[in-house]
Amino acid sequence: MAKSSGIGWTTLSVDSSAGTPEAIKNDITNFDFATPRAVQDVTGIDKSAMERLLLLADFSITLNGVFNPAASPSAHDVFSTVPSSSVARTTTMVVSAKTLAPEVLYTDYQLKRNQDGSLLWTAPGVLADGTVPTWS
Amino acid sequence: MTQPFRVTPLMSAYAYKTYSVAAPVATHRRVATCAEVSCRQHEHGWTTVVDERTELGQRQAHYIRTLSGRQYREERNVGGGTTFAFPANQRCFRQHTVPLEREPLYIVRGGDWRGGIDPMQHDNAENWVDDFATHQDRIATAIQRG
Repeated sequence: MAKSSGIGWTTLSVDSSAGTPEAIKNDITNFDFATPRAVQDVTGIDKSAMERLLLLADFSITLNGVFNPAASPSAHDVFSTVPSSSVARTTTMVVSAKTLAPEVLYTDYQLKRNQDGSLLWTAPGVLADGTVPTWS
Repeated sequence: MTQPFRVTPLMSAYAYKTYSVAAPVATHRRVATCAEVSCRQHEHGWTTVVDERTELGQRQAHYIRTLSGRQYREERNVGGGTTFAFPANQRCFRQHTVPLEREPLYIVRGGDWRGGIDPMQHDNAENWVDDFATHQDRIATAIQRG
């Protein structure tokens, strides 16, 4: 049996523009997943607000990491095609043996060189298919 | 840092909740050698072109010749530049890092990328996933009900 590291966060992979998942966890320093705060915020108000909840921009994701220009798999291999392609990318997170795999439309791939010489990137995105992502 | 291009959320920041997994560089990564990360410059060699007509170029060339400690072959270009060709199997000029096998931080906070309040850290991945899954299920159920 393979040795288990015991780390809860085990997988983060994002599809390349060709639809091939690439495991890029090693390049990622953090990810944020913003979701509507609570059902109570939307159930008691008018219908148009409820419809707004269903719109794509109400769920957003931001991946941050360190620049890695290596060939596949690497974050740069995945996100360098963000400016030149408009494809939804399956973004799969496995934490504590549970999986969340939303379809995400990434809108930018921003690189920043810091004073200390480190080169970091940010890739924000929104849900692409309007389905509320749930853990399985 | 300038914000990257994003789709602006429809509701204000307080209407959102953010689930994060964080492995900060300072605490969750270590410096690695070129060999550890299969650095292409290390494996195949590389060239660096500097323009010695500028002050920056002069400083770069001075560093390569006297301080870098790398092996190189030097060639003057017609346009005034200098090409330094570095053979393989020596450290490149970048600093690589690799993740430490350390549990990341599992955080929940109010707000989104525009601003946040009340950050809370879960002790372990199970609790964070449970919190996140319960939250998402509530929203999915509410939407199904209409």
